[in-house]
Amino acid sequence: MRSLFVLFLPIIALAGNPDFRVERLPIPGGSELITVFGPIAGAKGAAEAPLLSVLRDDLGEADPESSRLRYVWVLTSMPPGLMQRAVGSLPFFYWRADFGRNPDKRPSPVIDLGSPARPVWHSIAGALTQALALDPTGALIRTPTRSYRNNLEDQHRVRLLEGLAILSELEDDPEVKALLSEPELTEIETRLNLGARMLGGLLTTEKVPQAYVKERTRAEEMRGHNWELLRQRAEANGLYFEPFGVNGSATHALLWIAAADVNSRRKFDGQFLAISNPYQDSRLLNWKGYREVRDGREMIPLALYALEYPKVPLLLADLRNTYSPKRREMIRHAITDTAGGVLGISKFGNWPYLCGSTAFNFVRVRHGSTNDRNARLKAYAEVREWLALDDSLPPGLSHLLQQRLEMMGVNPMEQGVLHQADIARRQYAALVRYATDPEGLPARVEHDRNRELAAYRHGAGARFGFRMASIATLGLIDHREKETGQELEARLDRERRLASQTRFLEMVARSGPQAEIVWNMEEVRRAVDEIVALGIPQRSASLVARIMRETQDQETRAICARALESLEAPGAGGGFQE
Amino acid sequence: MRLLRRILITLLCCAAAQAKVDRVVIIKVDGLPDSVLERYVAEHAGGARQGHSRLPWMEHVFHDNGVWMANFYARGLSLSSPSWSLLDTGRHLEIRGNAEYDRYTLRVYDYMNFFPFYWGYARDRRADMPGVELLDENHVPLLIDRFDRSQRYQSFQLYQRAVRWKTLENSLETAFKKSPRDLIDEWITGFEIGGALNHQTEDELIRKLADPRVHYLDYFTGDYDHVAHLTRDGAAQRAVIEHLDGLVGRIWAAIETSPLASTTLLVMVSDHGMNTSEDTYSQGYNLIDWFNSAEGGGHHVLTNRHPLTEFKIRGLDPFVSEVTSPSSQSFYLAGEAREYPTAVMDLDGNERASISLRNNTLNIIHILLDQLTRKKPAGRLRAAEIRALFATIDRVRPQWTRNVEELSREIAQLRARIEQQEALVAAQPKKFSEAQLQAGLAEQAKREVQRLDQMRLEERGYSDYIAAMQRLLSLDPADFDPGKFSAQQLIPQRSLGDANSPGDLQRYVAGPSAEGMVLAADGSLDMERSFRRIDYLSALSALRVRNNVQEGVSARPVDFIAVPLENAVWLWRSPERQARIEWRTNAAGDTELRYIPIAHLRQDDSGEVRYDRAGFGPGFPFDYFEDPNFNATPQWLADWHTERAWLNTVHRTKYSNGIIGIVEALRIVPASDAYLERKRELRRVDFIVFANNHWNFNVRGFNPGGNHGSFFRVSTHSVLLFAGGADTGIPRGLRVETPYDSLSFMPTILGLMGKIDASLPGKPIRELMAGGWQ
Repeated sequence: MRSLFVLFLPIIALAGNPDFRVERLPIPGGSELITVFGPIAGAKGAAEAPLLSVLRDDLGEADPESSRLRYVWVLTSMPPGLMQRAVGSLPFFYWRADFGRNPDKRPSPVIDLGSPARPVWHSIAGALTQALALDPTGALIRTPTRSYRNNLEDQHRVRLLEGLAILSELEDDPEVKALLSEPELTEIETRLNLGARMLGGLLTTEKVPQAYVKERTRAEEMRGHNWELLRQRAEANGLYFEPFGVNGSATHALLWIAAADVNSRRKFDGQFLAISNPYQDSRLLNWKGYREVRDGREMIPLALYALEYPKVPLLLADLRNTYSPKRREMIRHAITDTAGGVLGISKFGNWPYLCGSTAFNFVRVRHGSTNDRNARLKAYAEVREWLALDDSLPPGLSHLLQQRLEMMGVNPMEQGVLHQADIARRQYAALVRYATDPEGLPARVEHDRNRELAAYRHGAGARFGFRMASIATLGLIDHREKETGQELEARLDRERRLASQTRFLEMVARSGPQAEIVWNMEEVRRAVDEIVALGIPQRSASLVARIMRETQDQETRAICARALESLEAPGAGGGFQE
Repeated sequence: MRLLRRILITLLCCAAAQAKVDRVVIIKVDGLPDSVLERYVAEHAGGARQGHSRLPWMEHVFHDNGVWMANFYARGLSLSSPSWSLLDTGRHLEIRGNAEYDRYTLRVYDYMNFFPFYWGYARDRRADMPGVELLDENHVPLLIDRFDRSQRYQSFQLYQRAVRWKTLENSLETAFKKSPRDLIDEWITGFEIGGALNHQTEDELIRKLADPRVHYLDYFTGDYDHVAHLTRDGAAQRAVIEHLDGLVGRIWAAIETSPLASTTLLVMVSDHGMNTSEDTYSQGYNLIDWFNSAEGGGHHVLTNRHPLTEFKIRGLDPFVSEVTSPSSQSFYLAGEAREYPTAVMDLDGNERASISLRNNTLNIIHILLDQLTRKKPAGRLRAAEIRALFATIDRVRPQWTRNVEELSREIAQLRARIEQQEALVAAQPKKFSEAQLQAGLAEQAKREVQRLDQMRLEERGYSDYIAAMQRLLSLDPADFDPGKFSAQQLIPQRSLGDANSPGDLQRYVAGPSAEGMVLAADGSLDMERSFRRIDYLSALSALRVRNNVQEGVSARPVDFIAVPLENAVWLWRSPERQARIEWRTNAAGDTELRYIPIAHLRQDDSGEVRYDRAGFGPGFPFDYFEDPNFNATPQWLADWHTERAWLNTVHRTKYSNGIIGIVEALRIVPASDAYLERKRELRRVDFIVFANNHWNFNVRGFNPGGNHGSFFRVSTHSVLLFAGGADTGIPRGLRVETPYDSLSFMPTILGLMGKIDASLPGKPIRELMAGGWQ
């Protein structure tokens, strides 16, 4: 059956990168806004729209060691408006309320890469408030507040995941790579991914590359696993399997049936497919919907699946039974809202419920049930964004799938994809206004820099104290470092360089013995030199001593020795004792 | 000549032994292909590592300062159990799959399942992994057995003796004894208990290096194999190899500062390669489903693991070794899956499936008995069926009777040995002093208990088989009344009986025909029309799939099928494209092989095998004709050549050393003990199905990343690297292009350490010996 190869390969081959373009906008005060533009399928007017912006604070220098990525804006979507928030607090309301937004309003970033932990603390504070203050007041308060929080969190996750989906498309784009280095792209991707997870923002910066590899491995494993599972199930049931997806890789798949086979009587095993028997199905026998002729054979699409879902392919659209996936999603949400909201049963306050629901879920997942709400959300966000950005599917099919996915929305705070291009353009215009306003983004950057300098100078305890004081006095007491303007930039430049070189040397020291075998020693020497030049702080002394111990490179040892002498630090003893 | 060869090897090794290797440290990496390692060593890292290899330690230790064996191959099937057994023993294969089954009793030899071993060890009933138990029984020592207990440090692995609970305990402690910051980080990115065990093992190994009394240390890791099975992603695979590179650096640095630095040999070896490609998913084909189906014969299939394990609650059972997948389309054994599994499979590694089917004659007898006892035919049909039943039994009676009698004698001897073993076990102390524990007496006591358990198990299993067969063979047509018997009394349950012949596989009886039992014109039973027959070789090679969406992947899952013959292996690709690989031993004691392209091999009822000689051309198994890397003439193939000559000639071809491997996998070397030889014979499979490129037969789950098990060069091409201290004589910066296979590993290590064993069949690596000599 080479025919299937002939049938579907052209689509896979076409699935490449759409054309992206990157623009840099200098911001007063020494930072820049990097914006990625790309085509949005079905957009009215211009073919391309701004998709994502990133603020890089480089202190006015083109030196990666003193530059930091800060905010990421996903321009294709925006936070809910007041009306949407109100509707979002209605219990058991599972329809999209796409109104009440103002796309011209200043966009809010989906993540602050300089402070990724902040949303985690906000979320914990919110959860505590809910559990301690709102839940005990009864179902009338508990139910809407829980609905509101769940919907808001889901909506924020969708925005993060949309950003992630856009980035996945950009990974191999040369223009993007020229402006955003590989570590920077890795950082953005990992932070967006982790931002959508509970406590994800708490991951330490040093562990970001490791987390990226783990997440990538996990995603690749899921993809391959589900690709194989779906292919084998399609084969066993006489269906046709067509993988396609983000950046040419197989993130999604369609199942088709040959129109000529519909009338045949054959056994159908729907396990893992989550669709009903297509054979002898009257809807297919009288099919008026989308169909394609490939290789002389008329084919009818049956279902769309996400392959990046744990254990099983996730059914995203059932083309015969439009509302089936949505119905399932609504039932799941209703169960959660009833248990947590109306009945006020919490897993953590009710051991029998915790055990019962854990056991039940374990058995269901073991048998291939799609119980992971976050993963479902991710799959949904990803495919919507991919269909909007990628034009490798035939327009008719793409439009049909987009329509079906639009119907899937169960969150009133969420926004549809059909007006993405318009929203993106207006959001970007608002962002540019904000960025060029001296009281707007430049002022915010200045404020962030001041905070960053405080973080370098003061320990976690002191910073916590400053924060508490600020909260307690409603912002009247707001600790600021005394430096401003160019002095602040110069101080921060020094601290950033020091931090960057220290992080590098820590990595060298951690990497094991004989650094010269693994590392370019010129880079190591340069880092030690720079630390010395910047004034080697006491805390770096033991690190330099360790580098000295770990290398047999005479030149590096000499530089380390000089560095330690210049410090005359007792902590450097290890370095001299050899 | 054999003596002369041994003397020469001994002299060569002695010469090498002038250089001094006091200690060997072996890093064992499961499934790492040489090509992947070479690729990453050649690749340059960027950024602050500019100018350095992606694998700087591999480059420094082995490439620049050691010996890189560029053409080292797994011998036999490229599977973990057989491949590690060959590396760890230096002997021809005793273990030919990751799981093996005894045909008479369906006892499963599950070499990969370590849970029963750990459980048995904790209960003082086992001392070694299952593979080691089998090797011990066959008097095959491991490399570690060449060292005193106090001289060795063995990590956790397939051929493991004893369990170090302390290591496990400490690794658990390591996993969770971290700063809250690190724990949160791990919670976010996912805990890795396996990583903690690796870390603990590394720590212990490095500590042991400081002890000059320790002469053997190994470190086993299955991380690459695991990841490469699951994902084809280059970055994910590279991350594991980079981690391995760091490990090499840490171990090498520890060796350099250890007391035996100048006489320590560091070796890195992998058991097989891995067929993985960043552009292609490995596609699975479910042979269990096919054998369950009517087209496949409606077999109840026995395997060692649950199909789709991850989707079953019972898939969580860590002790599982026997799983029967019942057929809903069985033609005569519906509902009898437990009693009569008729096909057994070892699918591990996944690029091949080793399959045994129940004896074809036993099927015919079972069907006829079933017809007579359940359908109760009358008149001429009944008489014809009874005549056919006894004619069938009479045809095999002499051979089966002889087998049963021989086995009975062996079981009688086994009973005597059981009594002796019982006395031995009873005499074992119940408590051990510290000195006795250090001397390994506690483990020895466990070993004796395990042997006794195994003997009893075998005695029970074989006795049941003998009893059923004796009942069957004692049937007498003169007083045979079908109403007095049931098929279950006469046909041994959970048994495949004797092996099938090639002819059986071509005319395999899967059930009564659709029209039932049919009389011939002469009133006898029409044996052709009465039975549903399957030619498994044709049927399997005809398999096709409709969903084949990857360029360069065939729609046919099956590449070719190998069937053992008398002193030969028959390779089937199609009726016209077959090959016969023959072997013999020459005057020097070396094995010689030849490859004869043939067509239409068949075996008649008398057992005679006939075939047509075929002209050489494309499409024959192993693709020699069309392979650009095959540089010999067609006539060369049909001539006798030593294994060395074959390896030199074919190792760069698509199927590398497949011709040597298939013989190693299917050839039974006679044992000194008849009982051991019988057990060896009973573990031999009827046939092996090899998957086409990027196909696999995994049913336990999905392995889209890559697989191994076949003879594709990418699957057999393994890693072997050496580096040594100043006095070891290991050459520096030497790349050896001469091909070697895993049989050379053990004699090389022993030779370098001056522990020469001239009885080993493999030849040491000359280039290392020469280096040592210098």
